[in-house]
Amino acid sequence: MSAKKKTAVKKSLKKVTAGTPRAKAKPKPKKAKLPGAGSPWLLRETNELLKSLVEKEKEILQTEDALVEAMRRFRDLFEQSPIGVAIHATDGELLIVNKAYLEIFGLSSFGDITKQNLFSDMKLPRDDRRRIKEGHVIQYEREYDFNNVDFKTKRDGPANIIFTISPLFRDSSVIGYMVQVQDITERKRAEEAQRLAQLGRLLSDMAHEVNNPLMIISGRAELALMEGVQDSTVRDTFNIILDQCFLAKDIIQRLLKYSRIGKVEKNPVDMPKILELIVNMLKHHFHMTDIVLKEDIQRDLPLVIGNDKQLQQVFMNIIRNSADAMPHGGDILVKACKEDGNVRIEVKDSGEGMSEKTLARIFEPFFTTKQKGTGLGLAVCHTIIQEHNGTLAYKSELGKGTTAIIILPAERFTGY
Amino acid sequence: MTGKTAKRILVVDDEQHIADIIEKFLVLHGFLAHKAYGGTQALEVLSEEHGFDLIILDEKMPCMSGTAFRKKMEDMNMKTPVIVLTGSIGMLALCEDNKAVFKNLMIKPVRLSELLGVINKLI
Repeated sequence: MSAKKKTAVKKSLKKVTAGTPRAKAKPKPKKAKLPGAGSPWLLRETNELLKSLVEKEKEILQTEDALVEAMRRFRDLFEQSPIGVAIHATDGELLIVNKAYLEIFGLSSFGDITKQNLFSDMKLPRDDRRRIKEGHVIQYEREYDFNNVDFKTKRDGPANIIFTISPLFRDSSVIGYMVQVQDITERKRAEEAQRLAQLGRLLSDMAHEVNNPLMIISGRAELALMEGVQDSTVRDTFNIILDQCFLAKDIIQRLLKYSRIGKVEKNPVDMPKILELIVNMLKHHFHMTDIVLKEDIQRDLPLVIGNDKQLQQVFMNIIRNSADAMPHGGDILVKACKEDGNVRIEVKDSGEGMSEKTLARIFEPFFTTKQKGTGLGLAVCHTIIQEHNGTLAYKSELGKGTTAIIILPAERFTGY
Repeated sequence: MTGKTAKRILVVDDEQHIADIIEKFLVLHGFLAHKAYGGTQALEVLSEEHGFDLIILDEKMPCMSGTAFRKKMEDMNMKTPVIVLTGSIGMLALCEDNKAVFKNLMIKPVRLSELLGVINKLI
């Protein structure tokens, strides 16, 4: 217990003991100086008094012990709770947090966050701030990316945290606020995995049901073309029907892949090698265009645990997206380096960039800005990186280009 | 195909429209095509008629799956090459035994021109 807290305990104890017989007993020894001291009656009285004083002292000590025990019990409850708890003063100042709170945010000590204020936390919506001050209990969930937070943390990667903020009352006035935090990242992951498994089964059934009619439509169209169609408009129509059938097939296949992402074998993977392979392949591909693919890939990066084919798919997709954002050509830079023991990869382009509105939706399945896109590319990439316990984030500015930042945990951090 | 005997191909698909399309397409390209609307019917055809050069087989059929049909063929020691058509490779991938068939596996909808390429490679 710190000196500060000890003083607090003493103070509270003083309050409790005020008005007890000890306080009343104090003036009594003065009476002992009255004339007639030494008489048997006085001696008996003094003895009685001393006895009762000892009794009272004992009682007080017992009360103190009980109080200390109660405080210890509450402290244990506070410290051992799996729910993170923080107590804030009425002005929002952070007063105390428990062990779970530090663990959830990956903090080494309370000292790292003493400056945090409940009300200057910009991520708390204004309306909620008002409601808390009015004495309401509010609850919300927030997504964290621990690779990108404004405090010092030992955690990395994405996390989902539930906040419950409740006012603390004494005699119907608010004397502070309690913030409870629960880390539901693992639960969410398990739910997501279950959801994907269900989706996978559904999609597999759907693929069978839909692909047969698609085969009939495309087959009839192709057969008609094979038999010879004179009218060019009719021929075009058949070709469009064919193309659209195969686009639909492509969407179904991608969805099936999307739902099967988590069920692949993972091994130690050398990211620089994978990136080199893709860069060389795409350099060849961009050969006839005005797109210049540059690389700044460090060779001695730690291995990551992953599926090489899926990771190849991710970077192929991200680099191709960059190229698609530069219809009139430009530069793409693929950078890879070590960062805090993780592997950090950046794909930076000098393309058109994205608006904030677009940026907020890029990982949504079926969201696309391309004319012929399926809207599944980045959704798949995002899920693959998440399945590798990594993060994929995009930074973009309209007219200035876009940067994709991928962070993959190095082998020793994954606990395999 | 000119001058030579036309190659004989058996098309097995429970979806009649698909079997019809593939049959028509095969005939158009000079093959002799036979149809069977299911595994049991296909086995009957195979027991009556011999000398098929190729089988084009649907995987998902109600009474007998493509995989079950190929197992029967194996039991009957039939070595006719097979092209498997399927709506999704998900189910096939679950069976290790199917690894051998993957090289001749096509996912529906299949471009008939691509199917022709695979047929020509096999026979």
